[in-house]
Amino acid sequence: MIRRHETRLAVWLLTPALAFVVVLGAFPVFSQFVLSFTDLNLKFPAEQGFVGLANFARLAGDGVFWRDLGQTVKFTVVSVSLELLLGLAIALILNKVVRGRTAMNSSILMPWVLPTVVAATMWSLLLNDRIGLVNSVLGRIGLMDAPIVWLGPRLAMTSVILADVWKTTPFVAIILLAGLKSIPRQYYEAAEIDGAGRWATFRAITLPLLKPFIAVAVLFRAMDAFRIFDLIWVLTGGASRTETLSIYIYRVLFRYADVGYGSAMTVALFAIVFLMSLALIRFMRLSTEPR
Amino acid sequence: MRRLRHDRIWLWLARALVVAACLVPLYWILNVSLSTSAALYKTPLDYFPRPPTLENFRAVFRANQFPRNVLNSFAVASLTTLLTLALGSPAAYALARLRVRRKNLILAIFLGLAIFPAIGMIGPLYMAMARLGLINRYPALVLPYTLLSLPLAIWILTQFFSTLPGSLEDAALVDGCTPIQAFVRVILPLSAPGLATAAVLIFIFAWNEFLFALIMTSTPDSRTVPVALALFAGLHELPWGTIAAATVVSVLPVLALVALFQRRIVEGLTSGVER
Repeated sequence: MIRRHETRLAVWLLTPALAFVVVLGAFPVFSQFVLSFTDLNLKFPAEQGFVGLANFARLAGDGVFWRDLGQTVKFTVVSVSLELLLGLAIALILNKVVRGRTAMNSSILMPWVLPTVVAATMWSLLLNDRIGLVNSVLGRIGLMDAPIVWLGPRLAMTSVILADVWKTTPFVAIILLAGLKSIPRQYYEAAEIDGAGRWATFRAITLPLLKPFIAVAVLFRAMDAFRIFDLIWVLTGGASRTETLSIYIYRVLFRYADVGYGSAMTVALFAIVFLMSLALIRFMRLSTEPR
Repeated sequence: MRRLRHDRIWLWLARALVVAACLVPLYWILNVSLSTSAALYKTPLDYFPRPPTLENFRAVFRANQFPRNVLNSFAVASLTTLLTLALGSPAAYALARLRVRRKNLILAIFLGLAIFPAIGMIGPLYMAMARLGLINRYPALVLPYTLLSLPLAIWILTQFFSTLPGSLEDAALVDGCTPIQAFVRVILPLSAPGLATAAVLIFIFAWNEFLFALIMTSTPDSRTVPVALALFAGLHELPWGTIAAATVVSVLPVLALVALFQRRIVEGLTSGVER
């Protein structure tokens, strides 16, 4: 009796959210899959038709797609690795802060809550070759002879990664900080009694117990980094070999109005992100299982 | 003993470095926003405004529709927060505390949505919104934002609801509440901290979102702050002082949220990771 009541209530409570998601979400997702098999182009709407896998074949031979995929992978791997290393260092540094914790947490959260567009605008000002703070400081301390063109062809990817690391390392640090706090104190006391050094303690206790947290942070960051759009769009517009897949898709969909091909690319990007998340989840399961 | 004190000094130095790395770029924007444009092109640069001026802020609020853009952002972010919580909290409650068939399927729908590239949803949603005549109006942003923030909200709230003691509903039922009343009158008020956490994160997301805002709006009057800012920067021979002033204005609300709700944000980010 009560059980049936409960199920009925659950249905009532779940229906609005599910209906919303299915109507608004499933429809675009589904239509992307369908459109990826057509050659719909909004510039020539009359000529659309079913083309089977032609879009995917075109994708396989599209040099720009492969170049951008490579750049996206490079951006993701480098920035997420740096964020993980720096985030871990920051979490270790901030752990055990007693006085001033609120102030410190607030300041490291600031970059993360900033609109990405704002962070990007800010960095394009900081890195400006004539009036930027970075070049000014480098020049003043004598590390630079001629102004460095940070957003030019040679360094654009580095600068974009720098801005991303600045903005999202706090996220990683906060997650890892929570992880550090969850490790029972007794483990460290026991290690100290056994006379274990710092590095040994870190290797034997901190790192293994932190693994699930590392996995979550990396998963979230990698998914976002792989789909990065606004940061790069504002900083370089995708020029100087910084174009990522999302920006290429944006161009194809909204500049060339090539809906069929753009949809096929969206589906490909979704598949890549999906497989990447599955692989990461699998990896973290494997690495967190007790041996 | 010496080693310990040594360590402490290094640790504080490292902390100071971290805080500086986070705050110096923000300081620089503030500095530029308060400087005259002549001061910006001086070599070597001044590292603080000399003399400080509010001219850039006046320009922001005089020129173009920036105040209107701020208002739009507030409206869109608030409406998104309300709608997401209204849809998300009942669903999260059901998932956390009631017997639900196919729970995993339902969770998979929400999570699958979270990893679909947003860039791919915009086209179809744009056409749908255009057909409904909603382009350049609040629903064209509020509805997609709600869609995108629902997974996160349901995630945080489910975690939160499942930490409440199970006897709460029983007590409410014994006192003569219907199950729905138990949820509305007992669970929801007790969940204020969890709701606040979710609300802050949703608000920040909606305030910051760029891609949908760029495509769903086409008139200066209907833009939100991030889009106004991005187009502003691309518009003319970069009036850096004005851009910096607009940037400062646009980050004030989120920075205020951080200052007020720092603990909640940390809780929200780490909920579900902690076991």
